[in-house]
Amino acid sequence: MNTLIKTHGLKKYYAVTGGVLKRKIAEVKAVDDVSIEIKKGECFGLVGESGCGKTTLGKTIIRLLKPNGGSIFFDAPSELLEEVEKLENNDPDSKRLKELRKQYDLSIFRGSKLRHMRRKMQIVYQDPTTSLDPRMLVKDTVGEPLIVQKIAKGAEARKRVVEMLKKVGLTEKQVYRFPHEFSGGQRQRIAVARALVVHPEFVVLDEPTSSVDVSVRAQLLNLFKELQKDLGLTYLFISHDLSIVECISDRVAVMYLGKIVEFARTEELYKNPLHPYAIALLAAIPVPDPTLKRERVILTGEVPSPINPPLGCRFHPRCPKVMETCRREEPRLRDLGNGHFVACHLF
Amino acid sequence: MKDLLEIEDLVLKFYTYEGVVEALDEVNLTLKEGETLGLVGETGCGKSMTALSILVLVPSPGKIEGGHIFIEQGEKRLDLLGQKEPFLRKIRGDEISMIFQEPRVYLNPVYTVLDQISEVYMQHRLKELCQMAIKEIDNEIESGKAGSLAEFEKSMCRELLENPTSPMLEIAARIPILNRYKRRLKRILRKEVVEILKNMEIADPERVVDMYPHELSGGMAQRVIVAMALACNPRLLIADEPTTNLDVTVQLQILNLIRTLKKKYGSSILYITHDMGVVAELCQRVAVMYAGSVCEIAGVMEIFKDPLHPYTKGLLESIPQPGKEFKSIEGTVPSLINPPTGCRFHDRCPYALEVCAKTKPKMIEVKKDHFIKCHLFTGDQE
Repeated sequence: MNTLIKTHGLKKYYAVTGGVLKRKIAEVKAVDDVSIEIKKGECFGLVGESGCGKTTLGKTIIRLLKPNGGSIFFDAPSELLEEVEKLENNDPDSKRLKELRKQYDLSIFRGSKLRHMRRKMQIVYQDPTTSLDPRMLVKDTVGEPLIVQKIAKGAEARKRVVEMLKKVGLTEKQVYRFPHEFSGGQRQRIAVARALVVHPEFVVLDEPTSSVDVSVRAQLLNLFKELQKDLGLTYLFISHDLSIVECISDRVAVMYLGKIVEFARTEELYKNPLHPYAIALLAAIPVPDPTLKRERVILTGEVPSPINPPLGCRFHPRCPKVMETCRREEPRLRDLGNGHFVACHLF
Repeated sequence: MKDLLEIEDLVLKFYTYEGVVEALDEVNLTLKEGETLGLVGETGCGKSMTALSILVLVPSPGKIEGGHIFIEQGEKRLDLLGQKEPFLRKIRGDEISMIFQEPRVYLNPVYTVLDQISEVYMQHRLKELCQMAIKEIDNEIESGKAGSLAEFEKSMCRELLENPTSPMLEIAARIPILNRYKRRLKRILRKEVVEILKNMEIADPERVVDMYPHELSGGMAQRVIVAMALACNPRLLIADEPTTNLDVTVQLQILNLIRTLKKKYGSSILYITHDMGVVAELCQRVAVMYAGSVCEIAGVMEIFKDPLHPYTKGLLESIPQPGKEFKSIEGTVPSLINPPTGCRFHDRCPYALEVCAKTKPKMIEVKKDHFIKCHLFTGDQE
């Protein structure tokens, strides 16, 4: 499979300002040195606790946020990606690399070039009650991307809107309604229609099912799967609900305090988690089976503040298997074969 | 085991401009002493309203229109509905207490943790506190450490014990030297609060006690709420989705805390949730609610192994399982302003009979301790 998105050392820091002059006094390292590769047509799961930077990473990849460093290559030919990787490792200041980045690196795109790229990537937010404008009719909400992207207008736009609404399971009659007239599940369908109306290749699903009920959740997940098959979409599925990610994703990355600590194919990760954090996180899922009695690691404490992340491995204050090196050195993501990457000194 | 709480045919209606919302429709529920009962259902099915009805705290424009809520009091059974407000105030927080879903919302942002937990003690445990203070003063007098005002302080504590609204106390509380008894009470309270926070497995309770809610993390805030609820060692603890807004790792911590505290304090728990996983871990019995009425009650093993009600089946099937198709219940939860006639689930039910649309099913016991409200099992098929 071809690579659709490749990030290299992606960083997003938020400045904390203080004092009368609003000077920068600290930085929140929301995403810190993240390198991932998303393949065409897959569903890439991203899990982690709240505040670990999942949403920031998703937003940065589609350039709703400007990264502070690193590169994002979107749909670049694979030979070029190899060349870029070689150059980045050997000769980071070369002219050729700059040229390539200018042509393909999403992180430095601006203006109309960026807007053109935005057609290819869309996002569905967590809570449809806040992400849909309460004063806009469904037809306007869903049709707006078409107008902004100058794809269609008037009758043509309307035709496309209706077509898309039907695809997500709504009817033509509902185009002249306001968001408040719909149930939670239907609202999320409208948000999905708005994202897909421009026929993107890549969609970020930012906890799309966390605001709906169990019975509706399954309907939405089925919808996502169907749409992916029909339209050939690539998903970045962000969630804190690990059991959903297990069911929908092909590969999963576990994030902790702005860093990817482990990523692997879904079955591999759920059967054989290696990073102590991933182990604890998976053990913490309540399983709907009363006969099951499990031995589990209970993590003490909570996620530390990302303003002052712990030195060395960021997980070491909560890690049950902490060693001396963990306090000093930051582990790097290492390939353990079979596409299983772990950032931990134990391996 | 004795029944601690018994809800009989509870009917709750909300009179809104759009119409009458029939929020609860003949809810029947019993809670035995020392057990954990899970109350499961989707949003808007009346789980929280059942909980608030038990405390007789239904928000307006809600009105309880029928039914009884009995609580065991010694040998007697007492109907909570129809009791006077001062009596209910004594019950709330002392015998029945509640943990809410969003800890941040239910903590007052302008008071410290100490202030908020001590309020519970001042409401319900004033007598014990005064006795402790008197004992302390007596000890001081005996060992000769007491100052010249010790006798006066003691008399003030007695006064507070016997007649808390006396004008003497009012005056003394405003005079700096004479209001010593107040400071002593505060010191004792602080000790008690630190002790209970320690039981909540909060690290460094001496420091946390003086914090304001915004300084606490989500998990800590929830622990403070749990502390407040357990301060008076209630017989019944109602936990209304206490872990929904927390991360899985913190959720596990809180669940473990509730489990150990239950052993320690011996309270019964009514645990409201929509997560079947949590139910499987924590509860002994489960009651499933749909659109304002309880449709199935059974032991936790029974529910997961052999669910009988079509809705319970659908609910269990809609839990995502890897490698399988996602199944869901067709349709959506009905509006409670014009609920479906007969069985409220009939228009989504795959096994619906003709009778389902006409008459309401009654709660029957199909097996031992397995109650169900469905026409498929009552035998009136025509």
